[in-house]
Amino acid sequence: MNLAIVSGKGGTGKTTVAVNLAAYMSRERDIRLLDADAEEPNAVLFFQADMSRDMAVSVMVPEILHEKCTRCRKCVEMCEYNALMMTRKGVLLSPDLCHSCGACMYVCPEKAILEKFRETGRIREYHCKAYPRLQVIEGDLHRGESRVTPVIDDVLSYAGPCTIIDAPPGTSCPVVETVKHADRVLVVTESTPFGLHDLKGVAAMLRLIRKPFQVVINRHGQGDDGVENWCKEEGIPVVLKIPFREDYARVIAGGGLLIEHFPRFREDMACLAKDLCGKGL
Amino acid sequence: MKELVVISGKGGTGKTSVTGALAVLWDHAVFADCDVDASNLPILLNPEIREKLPFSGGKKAEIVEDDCTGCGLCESLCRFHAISQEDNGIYQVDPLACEGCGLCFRACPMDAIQFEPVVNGELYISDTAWGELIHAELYPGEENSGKLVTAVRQKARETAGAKGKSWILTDGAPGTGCPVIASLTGASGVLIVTEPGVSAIHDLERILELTKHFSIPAMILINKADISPEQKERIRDIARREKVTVLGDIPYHPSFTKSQIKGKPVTLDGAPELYRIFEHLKQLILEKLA
Ligand code: SF4
Ligand code: SF4
Ligand code: SF4
Ligand code: SF4
Repeated sequence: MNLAIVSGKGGTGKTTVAVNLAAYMSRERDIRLLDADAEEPNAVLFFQADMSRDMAVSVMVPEILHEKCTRCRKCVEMCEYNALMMTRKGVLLSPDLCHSCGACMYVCPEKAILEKFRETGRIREYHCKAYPRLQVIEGDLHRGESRVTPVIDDVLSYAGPCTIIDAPPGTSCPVVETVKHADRVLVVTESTPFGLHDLKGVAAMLRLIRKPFQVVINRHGQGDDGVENWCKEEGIPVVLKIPFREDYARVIAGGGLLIEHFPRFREDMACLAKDLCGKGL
Repeated sequence: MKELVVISGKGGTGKTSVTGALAVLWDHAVFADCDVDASNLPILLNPEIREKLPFSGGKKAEIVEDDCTGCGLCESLCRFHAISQEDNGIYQVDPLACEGCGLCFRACPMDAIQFEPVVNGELYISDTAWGELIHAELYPGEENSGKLVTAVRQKARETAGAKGKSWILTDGAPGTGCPVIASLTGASGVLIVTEPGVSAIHDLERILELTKHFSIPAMILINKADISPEQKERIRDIARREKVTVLGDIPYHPSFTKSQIKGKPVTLDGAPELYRIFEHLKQLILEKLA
């Protein structure tokens, strides 16, 4: 099973659900927790984890062989992302704008363009002492880099038989990339007007790619009934309501796992795990 | 014209609530919401949309069935796996996967591929009780939020210029990637809203690297400050190390959620102590960016 945990935006408790569910379920089976929130991977902060591998993520960028280039400008005109510029010294690349599409290389009549690797992020693998059957794999995009999708693709390639994915926030292409291959999708939201608005956005995206999903309401009881009413109207199942409690907030703030401190939350995770496993885990 | 951008890393720390609370107090300002994925500032400022503009972030390929001979060249060239052969032998482009590079369009021997700009979002110019609000919505599943963010800021500058406003107050984009870079480059100052928790602090450190990289003066505001004294101390340590001013603390207060449910900024009819905190905050920011 491949479960993606998403949210319209960050800070709704997506990571809280992902890390606690992964830790809980790893007591009985091997679990891989993939942190695909590569702009700000936070899942590993909740574990005492040892890094076991650290690998580069690279993309291909063009390399101009200036001695072969006749300055015909075909590549510059071809690049839809304005990553190439003709300067007095020849064709110049702005690497952070390049999408690695290969079009410039294809159009160059002189075969003056080759490709080389450029590192844009890291993939790290962690093992957790307290949870020996849990493996955490995080993607970490280098600062200032804009193309997150290659890092996410690399993280997702680690999916195993039982995988929980902490998805990137938002509703744009990195999230689409992440949930496309998921068997199950949980949307974590809050029972506030902001939460409802973000939930509607994420629901529109999931419907567009025809992914059924279920909802987890976090910090329940603090806001209003908007989210629950909307889910009822739309026929979207709400599988878990996590109450708003200051003692929960404190443990999360300190980087602790709720399942280790609160029997009630442990039961919540047990229910969620059973619900997920009952249907094809 | 000066621009203050409020950001927070991943979000959930109260960035939009803070921006909304300041908006009510800010004179001579145009407001901008750069969170084009999940634009929440309008929930607080109740904008009346005056103008809607289509946004196009780029082009996309489309295969004209009748002209395609099914040679398969486009599929083999597309590096984004956006082209595939249907069961009936016809090739098709998946618009969600197409990154608009144009390679298939240039390469197709039959000229069977169209490559036209697509509308993938909308930009709004709205009126609120406190000034104009520029906001936007990216259609679900679309990319190029960075470009839309740039368009929002551009429009905000134009509007401020046309109306003779001296400030732009911007609710920045979330994250540390392309959209947030687009939302803060060239700003006069950045207010980072964080909270005492391991995740938010991790995000804060990444954001500070960004603001340093772009040499933008940064200030820190600690929201929900009473949740964890130890983590709050860590924020102060980081601030000292990075030589960034902590402008103050905001306590955890149910008034924020209550105002949100009413669709109002917390400084409008929330707890009076919060009003005083934000008044003071505004003064500090004005001094810092003077
Ligand atoms: S590979 Fe594509 S995006 Fe990169 S420089 Fe060449 S044409 Fe531009
Ligand atoms: S297409 Fe080739 S020959 Fe022409 S300018 Fe570009 S690199 Fe030089
Ligand atoms: S390259 Fe042109 S003719 Fe060949 S399959 Fe693609 S669209 Fe059809
Ligand atoms: S424009 Fe580029 S990304 Fe889109 S289908 Fe054609 S080759 Fe693929």
